[in-house]
Amino acid sequence: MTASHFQTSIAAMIVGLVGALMTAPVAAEMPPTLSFGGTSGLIDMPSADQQGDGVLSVTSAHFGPISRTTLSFQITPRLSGSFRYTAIRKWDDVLASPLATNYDRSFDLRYQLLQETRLRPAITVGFQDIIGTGLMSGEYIALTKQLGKRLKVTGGLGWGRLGSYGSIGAPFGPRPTADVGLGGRPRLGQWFTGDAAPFAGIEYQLSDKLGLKAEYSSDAYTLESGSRQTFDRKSPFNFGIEYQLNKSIRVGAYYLYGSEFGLSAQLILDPKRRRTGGITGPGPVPVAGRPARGSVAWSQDWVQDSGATTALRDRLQSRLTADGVVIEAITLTGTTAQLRIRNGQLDNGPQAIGRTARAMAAVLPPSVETFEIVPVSNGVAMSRISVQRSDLEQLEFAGGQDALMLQRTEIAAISGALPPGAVMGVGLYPKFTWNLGPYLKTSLFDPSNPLRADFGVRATASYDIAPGLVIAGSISKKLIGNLGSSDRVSNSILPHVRSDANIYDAKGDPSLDSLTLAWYEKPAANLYSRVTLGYLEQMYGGVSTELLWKRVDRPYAIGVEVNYVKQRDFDQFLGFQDYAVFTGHVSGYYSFGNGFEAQLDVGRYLAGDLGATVSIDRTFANGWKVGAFATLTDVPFEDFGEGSFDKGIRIQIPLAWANGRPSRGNYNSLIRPLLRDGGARLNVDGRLYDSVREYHGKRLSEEWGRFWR
Amino acid sequence: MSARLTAVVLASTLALAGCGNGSANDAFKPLQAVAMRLTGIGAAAVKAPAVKAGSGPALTLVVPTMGRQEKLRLLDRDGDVAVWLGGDGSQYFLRSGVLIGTRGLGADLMSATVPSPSDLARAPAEHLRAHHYLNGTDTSFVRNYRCTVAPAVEEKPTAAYHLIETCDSDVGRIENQYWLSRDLHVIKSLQWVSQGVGYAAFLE
Repeated sequence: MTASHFQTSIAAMIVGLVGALMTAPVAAEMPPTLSFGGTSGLIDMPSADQQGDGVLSVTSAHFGPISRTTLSFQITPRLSGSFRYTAIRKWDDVLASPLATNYDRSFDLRYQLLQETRLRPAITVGFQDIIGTGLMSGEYIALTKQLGKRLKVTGGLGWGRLGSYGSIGAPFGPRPTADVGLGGRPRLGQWFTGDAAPFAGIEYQLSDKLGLKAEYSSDAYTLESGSRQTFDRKSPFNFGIEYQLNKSIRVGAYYLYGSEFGLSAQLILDPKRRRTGGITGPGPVPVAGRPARGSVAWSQDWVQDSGATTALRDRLQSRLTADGVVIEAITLTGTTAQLRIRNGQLDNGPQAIGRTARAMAAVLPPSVETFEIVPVSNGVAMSRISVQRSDLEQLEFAGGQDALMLQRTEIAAISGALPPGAVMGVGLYPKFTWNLGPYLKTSLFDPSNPLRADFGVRATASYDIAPGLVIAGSISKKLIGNLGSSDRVSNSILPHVRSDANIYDAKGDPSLDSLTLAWYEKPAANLYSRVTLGYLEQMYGGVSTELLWKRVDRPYAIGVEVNYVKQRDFDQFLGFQDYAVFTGHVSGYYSFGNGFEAQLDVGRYLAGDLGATVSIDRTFANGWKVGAFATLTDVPFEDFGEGSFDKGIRIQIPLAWANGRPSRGNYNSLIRPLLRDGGARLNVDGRLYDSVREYHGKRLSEEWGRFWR
Repeated sequence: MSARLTAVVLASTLALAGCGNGSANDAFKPLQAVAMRLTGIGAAAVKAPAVKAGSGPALTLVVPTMGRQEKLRLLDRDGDVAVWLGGDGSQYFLRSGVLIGTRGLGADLMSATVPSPSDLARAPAEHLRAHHYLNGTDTSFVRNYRCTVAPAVEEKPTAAYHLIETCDSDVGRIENQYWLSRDLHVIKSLQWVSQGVGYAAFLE
């Protein structure tokens, strides 16, 4: 048999074998799908299903005059939250209204009380539109059971909006009218009161890709099809067919309420699943072996050679460049090497440390046994990670090598000062860098337009003067966009610290986004400091100072930030308006260890109001982050205006997760239902906690699996 | 602005992406990444390998699920472990011919505890196998297998031993196959990498 013949036949054999072994068994569980409301469910009705833990979904669903776009997050395996943006067109067709289209924002929470078992259905309780103006408000209990491999049956009871058609009476008394006021407050007294009505539906899986849905809806659309006559609700029955395009996207077509056609698209993003399976990119340099101990190569005489350190630094740097690691400083003794590094490319700290250690093993003389790797961020040393070279050699091919290596690695505090004899990296200070590229700035779910965006060109430049001392600036020129097209005049009775954002967007073209002198320092082993001076952000300039206390081995930190800022001119060049304020906070940070992180900021906000912000984020070891925040200050709800208080949702999606390639870039999105003037904070670059935390014990341990990658 | 002019402006702005002497411009990457995520276009590209191997012995690799077939070059040998290098910088660690790790395939086998060829040849003894992987959030987990080895029934018996290692875990069964020479050297093999990659064949 010739070699190529042999290969062909073995390839054929492999394909056959793989086919036999890899054929996926018929899925025992039908995947949970999403409803028009963007929660797990049927068509317009919810079900008791939950999405996979940590799944983030976006649903865009439309029928007749009604469009809904919903962002949902499976906060824990049983708890999920949804933020929904609803548009109802033809709003002024029969009743006078200043709005041709009524835009409404709503927030839901749902909790799965019981999980499905072989005999028992899953039971979920849901609260729809709990803090909005109440247009969508309703509560429900839903039961869902899969029967066989292809059929799923749901039944439930709804209240509020979901109890408005085919009511069976009001088991818990009449629904009190709620004073929704400006929205933003939960209407606890209304829950499960008033008329209750049953709803039901089935899902049938035709094939892996195709699914059918049918339901009986208990939503009468009292306002939309009744008094406003935006569509004709002729029947409670809805029907749909859905197609699974790929693992992330599902689309559907529907016939609803006996009169309207509908369409939906569901996008599922699972932080725990990468499309590429894992990070791609070349493998590491193998750990180089050393000659037998005691041989002449182990001599420490090389230390006497005055040029040795710079020569070794240059050889190390040439090996590290491919991974984006830059040597900030190197210190060598006969047995220990300390390398201070910047990680400019790898999204994962331990991988940058592992690659650095491998380069050190390849380059440094055999007598150097201890590798101290010190990640540096903004010129400041974050921690000292000490690796024994013999452990690298021993564990390079050992099963379970990551856990073994972590046990033998020391992660410790380090002082900011360089050790005696340190040699700096080449060409780092002073250094000028610049960049020119496109930018996209979006404003999502604005009260009068769901999507506003500007696209243009941005030039950025920075000048590193010395470690920790940097001048940086950015200028943007819009090419196209509609961010500035909003002519909404702020009705805020507070100083307009944020609510004139549309004027800034309209007049700042081109704009000086920022121009700052920043100084980062480490006054003591566990203390980090920052002083930023100049044009700090779109709307403010001045001085911002911050001090953070954080131990390498603790899950908590405390910070203080004090700023004095003046409001910038709308044209965003050098001028200022009259408004100036002292603003600042004391912040506490705590990492719970199960992926949840909490932050509490107490202090004075931009409008001079006093109060506190609570933030909770769920973070994943690959850099995904989904969180929410809320701020309560001494500004009364009436003075704050629509929404009553400041709150929002923030999402961070690492690019390395999306495309599988090592990169430190992130997609960040902040969704605020309303940007008002109460509880507003300064947006200053370089806040300390996130960059410090990245190279401390807890975060490094979570991400350690990639040390050997 | 006319549509044509808009298109020209957009195109030239995109062309500007990454201009400068600093690190690559990240401003536009989110869009690209989301587009890639949704379309799958552009995700397969990887950077040039950071390490290079000289010429020398070669090993043929076939990964059917990835449509990969190429000659690997020996990058390093450390005791009984050989590190083989693929054209895109991916790496394959074989201990006496038994796969103990991969790098650069995406769903990599990070490390493994495996039997040696002489353990395998002592069929039908039962042995354990442990595969270490990273999940989608880069958190490591282990998959333990309980394995048995049996000689394959060959249509045309050859000089080599053809052994099948059958391993069961909580999530299913894998089957590795080895063709050994009389001195227990692995000549060719078909070995499980991971759920995402499937099997890889190595042919001397």
